[in-house]
Amino acid sequence: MTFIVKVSPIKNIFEQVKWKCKVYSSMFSTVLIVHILFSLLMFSNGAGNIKRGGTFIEYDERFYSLDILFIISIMTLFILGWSVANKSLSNANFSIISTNYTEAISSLLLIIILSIFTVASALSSLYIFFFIKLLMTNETMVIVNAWPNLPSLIIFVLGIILAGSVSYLAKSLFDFSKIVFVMVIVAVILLVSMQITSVFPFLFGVGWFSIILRCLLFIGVTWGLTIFVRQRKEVIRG
Amino acid sequence: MNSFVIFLPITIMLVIILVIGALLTKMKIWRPKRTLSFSGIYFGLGIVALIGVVILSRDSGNIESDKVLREHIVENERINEQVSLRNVDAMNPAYLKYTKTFEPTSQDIEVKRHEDAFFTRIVLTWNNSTENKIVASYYETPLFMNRVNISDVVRPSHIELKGNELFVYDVKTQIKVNSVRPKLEIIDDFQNTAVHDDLSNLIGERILHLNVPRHFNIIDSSGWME
Repeated sequence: MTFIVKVSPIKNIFEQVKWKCKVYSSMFSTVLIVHILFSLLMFSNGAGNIKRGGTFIEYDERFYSLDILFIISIMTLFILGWSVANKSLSNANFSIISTNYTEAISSLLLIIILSIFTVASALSSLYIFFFIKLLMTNETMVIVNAWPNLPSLIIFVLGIILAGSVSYLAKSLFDFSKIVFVMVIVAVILLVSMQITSVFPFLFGVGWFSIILRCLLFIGVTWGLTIFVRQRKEVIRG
Repeated sequence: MNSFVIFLPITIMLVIILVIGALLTKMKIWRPKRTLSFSGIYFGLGIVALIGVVILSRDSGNIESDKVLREHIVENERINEQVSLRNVDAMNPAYLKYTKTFEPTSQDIEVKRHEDAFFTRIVLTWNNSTENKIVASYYETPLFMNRVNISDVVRPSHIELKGNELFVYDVKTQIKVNSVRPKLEIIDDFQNTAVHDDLSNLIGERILHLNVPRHFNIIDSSGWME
């Protein structure tokens, strides 16, 4: 093959990612608005509560943690990863000659950028709404740790990258419609949630380190599969 | 039923996310530049809030450090040991909350606890006086729940003599607290390490010491008295 202008793959991917961040900018605002919405729902009751009772004391703690935002982010990334794959051809930058290979990698890099953005947005939402609660109400506040916990953040990022890449792979493999896709996600979540106490340790092991390593492994596997599948895919016009 | 309960919220959440995504792609307000500036402002606010929370957490100095809590645990263990040996004199007088003197009319005294009052340990010592006097002294070491000193909030155990029955009961206090935990509790739950942090459990001892002359009979139906 001969090209008039030769572009190195790295530059190609970089340009594609830059282009895609602009084209898919509504995804970033979707993440923001979903987080603001669910933080508002979390505002009065918190993410959960801990009850401890002594004989003479009833201790009721409402904690504001990243859990709800984590679950919401996973769902959001499922949908966004799917829509990245769905509109990939129409939203590619054709001013640069791209191959299936660079296209898949740039989409996956977009998912990484989106995930990091999601973590920043989740942390901001948590702190903003807790701070407002702190200033506005007279209830007792206990702050044991103000700084975010690093392993949690790493697992947060890796978890949502995994969710995004899995749904990207699923869309590359099968041509789902929107409704079928939602139904598939619900079915998978239902099946997993029934057996979650056995499935989760089986998939991710026990301990922070094991979870992080296995997440990385799964991300690697899904990326490899995605690039392989995308290279074999025929061009769809229309 | 159970699966339906999970099914509905998940579907609603997914539909909400889809609708928001679809609306935002249609709306022309959310151009890249505006999205960038909006998220920049939001993250800026987040950093300001983080700094605010950190400053406020320094201000509220009611959370004890691990070292102090461990010292208290060791001290409580020592007190427990001494109490088992009925060595009440070893107790720190600073922990004494109140002393009550009863003058019962009959020789048989029955100790009755309210069903919740088992946290308070009751220790008996005998003396040789001939007076009709029972001296009850109540000790309480500093109480911590989830690293917060709650000694001032809770009320001490209450003792009362009615006829020949000595009642011991606790007043239940409700404590409601909000806290920020910037991490994933859900992961801890799967690892079964969530609640087993011994420093965030209830730390403290309550001891009721009864000094009784030998001619009294103390009847305890619970079997928990020492």
